[in-house]
Amino acid sequence: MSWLKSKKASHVLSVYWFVILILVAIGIYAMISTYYSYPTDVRQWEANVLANKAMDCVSKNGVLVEGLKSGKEFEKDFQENFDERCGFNFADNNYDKTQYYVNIDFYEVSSLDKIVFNVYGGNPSWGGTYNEVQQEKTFERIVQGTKKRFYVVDSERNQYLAEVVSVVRKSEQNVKL
Amino acid sequence: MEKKGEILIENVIFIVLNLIYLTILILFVMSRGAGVAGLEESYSKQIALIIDSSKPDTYFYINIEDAIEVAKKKWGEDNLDKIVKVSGNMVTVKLTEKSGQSYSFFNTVRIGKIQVREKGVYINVLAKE
Repeated sequence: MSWLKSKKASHVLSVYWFVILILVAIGIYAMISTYYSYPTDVRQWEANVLANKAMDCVSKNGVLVEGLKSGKEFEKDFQENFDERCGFNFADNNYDKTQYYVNIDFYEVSSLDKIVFNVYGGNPSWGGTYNEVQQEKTFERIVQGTKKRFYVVDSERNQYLAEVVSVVRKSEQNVKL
Repeated sequence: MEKKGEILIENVIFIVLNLIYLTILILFVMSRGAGVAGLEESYSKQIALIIDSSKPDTYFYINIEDAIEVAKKKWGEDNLDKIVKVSGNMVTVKLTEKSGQSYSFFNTVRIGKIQVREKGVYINVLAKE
């Protein structure tokens, strides 16, 4: 009789075991489905590449490139044709508006509170959104960006601090909205 | 008298069912990892990022063996040349006739002939004319 009892108990245990297995399977299915339903967010890397390209475009070996400054004046032409000069093409058929923004502010090292020259490309409104992300940690899903600083000299050895901000939106392709 | 050891049929069935369960689970995890949409998305983004970082006259190779295997099964070997396309500044990875994912790059370059080989794809980044 005790043999019968133990066999019955083991059957009941087997049923519970399979119930646990089914629950584990449902859990794994839910986790994997959730994980793969989210797109891979590559905007941080994209913003980094954009910032590096912009830095390479205005400075070579720590010296301002030709055409950016002549004499004591920065060139307006460089400012106006920034995208073309740096080889940026921000058009994207998936979106109506430009999804990128890159801005470089130049400061004289002697007075860091005053911008002496500025160049930018793309959609400036993403710059504003990125500032809000930085300050309040909101809208992180809307834009991703990066901020970098570097020192550069002109041909007369005047020193400047350049601050690059690059922002990428493309949220429809990189986050689940 | 010594008792002879016996293998209970219930135990065998129990072990077999557990193995079947584990196999199904592993196959499910592997199949989701190599899904068409996921592969198209990740490779289109990877290629776009590499093009963004490239200087003109760069020749690069990217291993997309898993995507090629999926394309062979679902679209046929004749269409392997069509799985990676660059049109304008848009990279498209397409592993079946009806699917496809695109991602844009901002670098103003021209893309030469794209060659899909056994395990990967060769892409030639050239200066804009």
